[in-house]
Amino acid sequence: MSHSATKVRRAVAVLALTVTAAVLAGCGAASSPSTGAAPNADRAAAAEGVSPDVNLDQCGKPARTVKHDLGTTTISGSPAKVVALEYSFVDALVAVGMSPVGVADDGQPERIIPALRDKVGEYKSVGLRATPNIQVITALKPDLIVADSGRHKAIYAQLSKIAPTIAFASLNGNYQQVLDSEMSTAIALDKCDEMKTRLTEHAKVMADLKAKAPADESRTALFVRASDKGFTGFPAKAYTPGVLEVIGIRSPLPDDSGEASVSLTLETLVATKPDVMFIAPNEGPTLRDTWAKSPLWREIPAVKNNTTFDVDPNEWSRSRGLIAAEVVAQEAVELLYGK
Amino acid sequence: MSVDTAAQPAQEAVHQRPKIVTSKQRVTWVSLALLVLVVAGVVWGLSIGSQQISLSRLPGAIVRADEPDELIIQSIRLPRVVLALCVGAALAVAGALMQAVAANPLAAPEIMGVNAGAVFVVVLAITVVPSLSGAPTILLAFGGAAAAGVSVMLLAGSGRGRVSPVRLALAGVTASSLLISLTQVLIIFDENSTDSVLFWLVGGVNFAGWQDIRNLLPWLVLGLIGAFAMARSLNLLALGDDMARGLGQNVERTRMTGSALVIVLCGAAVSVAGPVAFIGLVVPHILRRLVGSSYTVLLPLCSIGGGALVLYADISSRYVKPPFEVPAGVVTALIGAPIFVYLARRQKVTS
Repeated sequence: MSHSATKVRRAVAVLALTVTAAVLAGCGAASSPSTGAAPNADRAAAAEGVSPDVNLDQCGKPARTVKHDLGTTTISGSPAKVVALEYSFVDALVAVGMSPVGVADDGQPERIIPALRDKVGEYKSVGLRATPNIQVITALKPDLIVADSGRHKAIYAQLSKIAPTIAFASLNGNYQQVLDSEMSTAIALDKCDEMKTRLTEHAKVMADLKAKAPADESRTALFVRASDKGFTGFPAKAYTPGVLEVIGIRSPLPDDSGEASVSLTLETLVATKPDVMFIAPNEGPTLRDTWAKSPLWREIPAVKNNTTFDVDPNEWSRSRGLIAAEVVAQEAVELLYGK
Repeated sequence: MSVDTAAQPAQEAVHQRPKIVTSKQRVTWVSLALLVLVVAGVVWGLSIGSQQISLSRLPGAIVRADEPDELIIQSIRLPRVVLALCVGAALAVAGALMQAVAANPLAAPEIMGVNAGAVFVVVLAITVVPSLSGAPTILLAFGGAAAAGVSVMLLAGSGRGRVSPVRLALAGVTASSLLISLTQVLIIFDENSTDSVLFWLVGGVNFAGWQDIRNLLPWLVLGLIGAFAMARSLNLLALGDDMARGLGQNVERTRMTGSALVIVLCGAAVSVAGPVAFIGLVVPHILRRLVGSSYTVLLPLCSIGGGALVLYADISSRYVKPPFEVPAGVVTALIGAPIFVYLARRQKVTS
């Protein structure tokens, strides 16, 4: 009697472990960035390209309640000392003519792209983006902290004790989410008008760049990160392909996977048939170098057509923002059309 | 009097050991089943991928590959299948060796710090000296595996003659945790290669090329031949140290050679495929149940069984998120973790 009970308990324990493991494995895949809804006509006039989820009615109030990914935060006055825990938020600050007092720059200031660097000026590094240094942030006595809703979720409570903290998707954010986060950050900074002007300008820059591309552009472009142990493609809904789509260049990867990035083999790459490839390689030898020796590599349309371009991972991948998007779109147009 | 007390513990030890008797018929059937499994897996592995390719192209692809479809089979799918078999063989045999050497059924390369050592050194190379990565990683992995293995042995006190299995396991787990945390520190500090390194850390043969097989093969052959040649000594070791010594075995030398072979096999496998989890634990245990504990039979069968397990894990991983890649280590961990728990619980009851 007791023997069979032990057996049952053992079976249940093993089953529970398997199920937990399976669920955990599933979780990683399930979290997908949501695309913002199409901009509503009235709001579009108010802030171009921003989704209606952003609470623009808070603009200009002395105490503004900002909706963000980890809740709502009320900010009063005009924050002057701001800490940015992702390059995206440095972009947002520069877009409204401000500069951060502290940046989580991975201790590598050169990762701040040239388009932002001069305008950022002097700042204090607060360490790695993945693990910013709380003590350094505290010592800066900031008025506002802008954090990544994925990376910094665990330290959000700690950050909130230092200063009002707003958090948005940057690491896994798409182009729409990045634009929305720039506007929301501007609301928190009490710089609504500046950001609205900048967003209008951004829309115009992007439209002008799109106009440089032939209207019947039918080529697809794949954006990939090449590293020592992998070849990572970014599907249509990710940030960089989103930027390229605005100027009329589509991604060859199916967009139903809901992933921020996917791992590719040479076979999948050949089957994907990208007409253009933008490759952001890491330092040192990468898997691409090995693949380039294979005769199959030459079967990829982008290689056949000689439309494979190496691009800077700082500009194309790490600095997801409004200004960075213009840099990416500009470079893509130059590389593809020579204009 | 003195003869009595000396004989008593030895007899007990014999009783506690599983039976070394193997039925020849059983071994034949298991070997046949494994071979059928491997052949079926190879065909299955060659037939799936993002490109639809009919299997009738297979002979052409092996003889001469001109067309893209044949090239895909020849330069992408075939090395992937072959590497899965090689890596599985290396890790499973290393696991069986480790269990014999440590006299501990729960010993396995990933539990004894050997895999973690290889991983740490490879990640160190990728993140700190990116220009170093590539071909020399296999030697670096040996260094890491050896350093971790030797430290674990020293920590467990093997310099002073006898090693208690429990101390060896504890030292291994401690060293593993330390090395895994250090690896994580490296990854956090270097955002550059985080994605791809994390992928490799799970372990898999997704990006296999013939070059990987060329790197692995000499070490695999050396490791397997060495292991098979040791089978008899390992059988004697299984009788207990005293008995083995009594039968003229140099127990320390057997342990040292076995450990060196584990380092060669694991270092080579990890450097090309990452630390595919639980192969060294699961395969020897399943096969021990089927064919008994004689290492002359067990080690060759482990090399086939390990290959089959990694091959099928890789095939199932391709169905998770097609056409994109998921490392096979995810699947082996899903199979291995419950089996580990089961073994650990059984162990508590019998000991």
